[in-house]
Amino acid sequence: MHLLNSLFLPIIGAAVLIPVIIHLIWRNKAIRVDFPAMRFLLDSKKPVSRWLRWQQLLLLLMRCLVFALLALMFARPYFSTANLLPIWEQVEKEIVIIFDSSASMQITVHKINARQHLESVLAETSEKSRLTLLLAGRDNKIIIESAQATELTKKLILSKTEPGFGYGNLHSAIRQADNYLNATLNINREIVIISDFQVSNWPRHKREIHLQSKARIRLLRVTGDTGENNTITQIAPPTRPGEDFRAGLDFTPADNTAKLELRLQLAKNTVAQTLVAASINGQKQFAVFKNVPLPLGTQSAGLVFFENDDIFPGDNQFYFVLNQKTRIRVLAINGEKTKGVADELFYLRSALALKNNDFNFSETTPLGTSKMQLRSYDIILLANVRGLDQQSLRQINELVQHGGSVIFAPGDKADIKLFNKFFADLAGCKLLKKAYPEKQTFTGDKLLADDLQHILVQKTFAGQAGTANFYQFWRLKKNDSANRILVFASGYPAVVESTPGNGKSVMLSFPLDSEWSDMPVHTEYLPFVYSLLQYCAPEKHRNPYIFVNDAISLNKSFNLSEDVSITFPDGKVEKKRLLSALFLDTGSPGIYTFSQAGRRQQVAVNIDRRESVMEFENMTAFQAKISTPGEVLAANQLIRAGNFQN
Amino acid sequence: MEKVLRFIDPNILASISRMDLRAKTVVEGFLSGLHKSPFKGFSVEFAEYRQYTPGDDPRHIDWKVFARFDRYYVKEFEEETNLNCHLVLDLSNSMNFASNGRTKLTYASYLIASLAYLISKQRDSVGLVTFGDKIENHIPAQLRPGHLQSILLALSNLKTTERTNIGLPLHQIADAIRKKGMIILVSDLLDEPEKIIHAMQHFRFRGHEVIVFHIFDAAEITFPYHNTIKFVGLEGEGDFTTVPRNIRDEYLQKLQTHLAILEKGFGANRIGYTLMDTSKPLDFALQAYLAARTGKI
Repeated sequence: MHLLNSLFLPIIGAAVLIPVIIHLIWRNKAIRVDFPAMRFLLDSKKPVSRWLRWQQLLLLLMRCLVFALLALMFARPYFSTANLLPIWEQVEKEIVIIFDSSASMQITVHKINARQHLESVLAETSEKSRLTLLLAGRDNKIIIESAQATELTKKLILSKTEPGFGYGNLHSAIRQADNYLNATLNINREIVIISDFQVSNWPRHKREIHLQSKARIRLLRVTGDTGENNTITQIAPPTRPGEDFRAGLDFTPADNTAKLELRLQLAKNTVAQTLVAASINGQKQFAVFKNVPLPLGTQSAGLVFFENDDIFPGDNQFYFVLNQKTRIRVLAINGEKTKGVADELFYLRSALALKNNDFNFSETTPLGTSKMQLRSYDIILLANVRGLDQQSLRQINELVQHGGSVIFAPGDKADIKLFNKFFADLAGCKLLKKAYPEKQTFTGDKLLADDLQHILVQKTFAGQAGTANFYQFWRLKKNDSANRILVFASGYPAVVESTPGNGKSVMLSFPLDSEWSDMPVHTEYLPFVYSLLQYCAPEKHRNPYIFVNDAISLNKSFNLSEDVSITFPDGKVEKKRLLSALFLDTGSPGIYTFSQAGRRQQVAVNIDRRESVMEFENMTAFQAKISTPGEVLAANQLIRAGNFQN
Repeated sequence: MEKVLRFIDPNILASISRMDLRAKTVVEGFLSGLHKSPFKGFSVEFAEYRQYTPGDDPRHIDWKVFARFDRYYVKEFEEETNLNCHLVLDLSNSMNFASNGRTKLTYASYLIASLAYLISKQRDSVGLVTFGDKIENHIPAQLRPGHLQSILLALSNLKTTERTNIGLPLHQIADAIRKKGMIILVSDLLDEPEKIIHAMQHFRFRGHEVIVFHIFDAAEITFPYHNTIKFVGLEGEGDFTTVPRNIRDEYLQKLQTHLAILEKGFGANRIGYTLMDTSKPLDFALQAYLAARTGKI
C-alpha cells in the first residue's frame, strides 16, 4: 500500500495520541465517597469495577481507531499496480512538456542536455499521444497546444525550444500545466519537466502543489556543469558629479588570489576600469569606480562588465541608464530692486550664492520678464511683484502646467485687486488685507506647522515652531483645493500650496526680505529657502533597471497615437505605434531606447540575478513539493501508477 | 414569630456556637408552640422554709406561717422526678457521614442536647451514655443544677470510634441502668437488625420505656450518585468501585428491607421508632419524645 499524501503518515501517529491524551486527562476517574451503609453495597450482585476498566480501555481503542482512520483517509492510501505499467506506456496520453526556458538554461551544457532529454522524450512518445509544449519563463507560454505527436509536431517542438533570458518559475508552470490538463478529455495525463531545477525557480513563499489533473510526472534534469560563476549583482550609480560609481559583485573563484577586471562603459566608450579581488568567506564585494567623468544633465546609458570564462556569461554585465541630476533653475522676479538690504532679494541672493548648491539662480525685474523664455526655468519666484504682462503670465501658467513651479512672496508692493485678478487662480488663494496695518515693533507672530507630514515642515522646522517674528503679513483666503503647510500662531495661513497643473504653486503670505519680519536673520531662513526650492523643483523621471520580460512603462510625454521609434539592444530599430504605455517585448538584456519627436527614453534591461544562483534542487526534495495520484487508465482499469517516473 | 421558632432549621442551629444555646433555642421555640404545659401534674416534696426576698414568686409564700409569725416565708421543695431518662448516643464512625456538610453525629448531638434540655426543664433526671464498640462515656441520670451543663459539655467533645458493634454495648448499658426509666437511643443502626432488636428487647425486659431515633443522611436513602464512584467503608469495610446506577435498585431494596425489619421488630416490642433525616428540623424529635412521654406511642 502506498500513500498519496505521505505527509499524513506522521500525522496518523500524532492523531492516535490525541485520544490517548484525552483519555489520560479526562478518563472516568472514580470519585471517592466515604460511605456508611457499605453493608448494602458489598454483597452486591453486580461488581462492575473490573468491567469498567475494560470498558474504558475498549473506548480508548475505538477512539484511537477513529482518529487513525481519519488521518489515513487524508493520507489517501492506494495499492500500486506496477505490473500494468508496460500497458500504460502504450496507451494514448495527453502530455505537457514543461521546457525550462529561463536564463540559466543558456549555460552550454544545460542547453545541450535539455535538447537530448527533449529528443528522447519525443522519440518515446507514440503517435497516439498528444503533445503540448509549455515554455517556463517569467510568463509561461503554451507554444504548441495538444497536437498529435506526429513527426512534424516533434520537429516543431524541437525548433521552438530555445532558452531565453528571463526568470523561470517552475511553480507557476506546473500550475498552468495542471490546469490545462485538467480540462482535457483524456484522463491519461503526463507532465514532463525538462529543467535544471534551480532552487530559485521555486519561489520561496510558494507552497506544495497537489495536482488536480492527477497526472503522472516525469522529471528530466539537465545534469549541468556546476563550475564557477561570477556575477555583477547590482549597481549604484552616482547621483551628482564627483560621487563614486559602485557595482555589487559575486566573485568567488576557486583560486582566491584571482582578480577580476571590471570595466565601466558609457555611450559605448570604456570610461573607467577597476580590479576586484576574490571574495573571502563569501562576503559581498563592491567594485568602486572613482572620478568617473559623467555627462551632466543628460540621460546616458552604459554597462558594467567583465570578461571572464565562467559557466554563465549572461550575468557578466549589468546595464544601466543614468539620469544625472541637473541643477534647479530658479528665476526670481524682483519687484523692489534697490540697493542694500532694502532690495527685495538681498537675503535670498546671498542664500543661493553658497557654493555647490543645487540651484542655478538668476533674477530679473517685472519689466524684464517679457523678453525672457520663462519656460526654460524650473521655478519662478515672484518676489513682491505688483503685476506682470499678459505674455509673462501665460508663460508662467504654461510652466506650471508642464511640471514647473511658481512661488509668490508678496510684500508691500502687492495690490490686493491686481493680485486677486491676475495671480489668485495660480496661487490657490486670494489676498484679503494686511494682518497688522501698522507695523508692530515689539513682538510678532511665529510660524507653526499645519501639515506635520509635509516634507517642507519636516526639513525646516522638524515639528518645532519657528523662531522668526513676523510683524506684518498678508491675510489669505485659500481655495478649497489648496493645502495649508504653515500657519501663524495667530491662526492665519502663512504658506499655502496648490497644484494648478503638473507643477506646484506655493503662496507665501510674507516677502522674503527683512521688511515685514526678521526671518532672514534667523537660522531657519536658509533651510526654509533651500527646502522650499527643492520641494518645488520638478520631479525628474527615474529609470530604474528592470529584468528581462518585465514591462517598460513609457514616459507620459510620449504620444501613443503616433509612431514610436524603438531601438533594441541588438541595434535593431523598429518604428511602431504602441497600443499602451507598457512595452512588453523585453526578451533580451540590454538598453532599449524609445524616441519620438525630440522625446527620448532609455531603459536598461538585465537578467534576473536569481538566475545566477547556481544551486539546484535535490530531486527527492523537489518531488516532495508535488503530490499527485498519478492516476492512469490502462487495460480498462483505473490504476494509480505512482506519482513520479524518472 | 411562633412559626419562625416552630421549625428551626438545623443549618441555622449549626451557626449557634454554644451547645446550650442551641438546645435552648430548639426547646424554647418548641415549647412556645405548644398549647398545653407539660409541667402540670408533677409532684414536689417540701424541703424547708426560706425568708422571702424580693423577686421570689409570691405564690410560694406560706400564708399560714405569715399568720403565725407576721413574716414572709417561702416554701422550698426538694424537687423529685418520676422519670430517669438516659440518652444513648452511637459514636460509630458511620455517624461521621455527611452529604450536605452536616454529619449525622452533629445532627444527633443537637438532637440529644435538645432532648436533654427539654427533659431537665421538665424536672426529670437525664443522663447520657455514648458508645462505640464499647461504652465510651456514661453520665448517670440526675437532676441537679449544673448536670445539664456536664451533658452538654460531653456532647461538645464527641469523637467517633473506628468500629461499632451496637448489640454488645447496648446490652452493657441495659445492665448498667438499673432504675426503670426511659431510654432514648440515637443511632444510624447500621448493624444486624436482629442484634439491635435483641438489645432493645433487653431494655424492655428491664422495664424501660424505649424510643429509637434512627438517624439517616438523605444520600443514604436516595442514593443520588452518578458516574463511577469508589465507595469506601467508614468502618473499615474496604472499598467498592461501581457505577451507582447499576446497583441503585438493589441497594435501596436492601435498605428498605433493613428498615422494615427494624420497624417491625421495634413495633412488636412497643419501642418508639422515628426515622430522622439530617435535614429535618429537630422539633420532630421533640414531638416524638413528648408523644412517648405522654404514652401516646
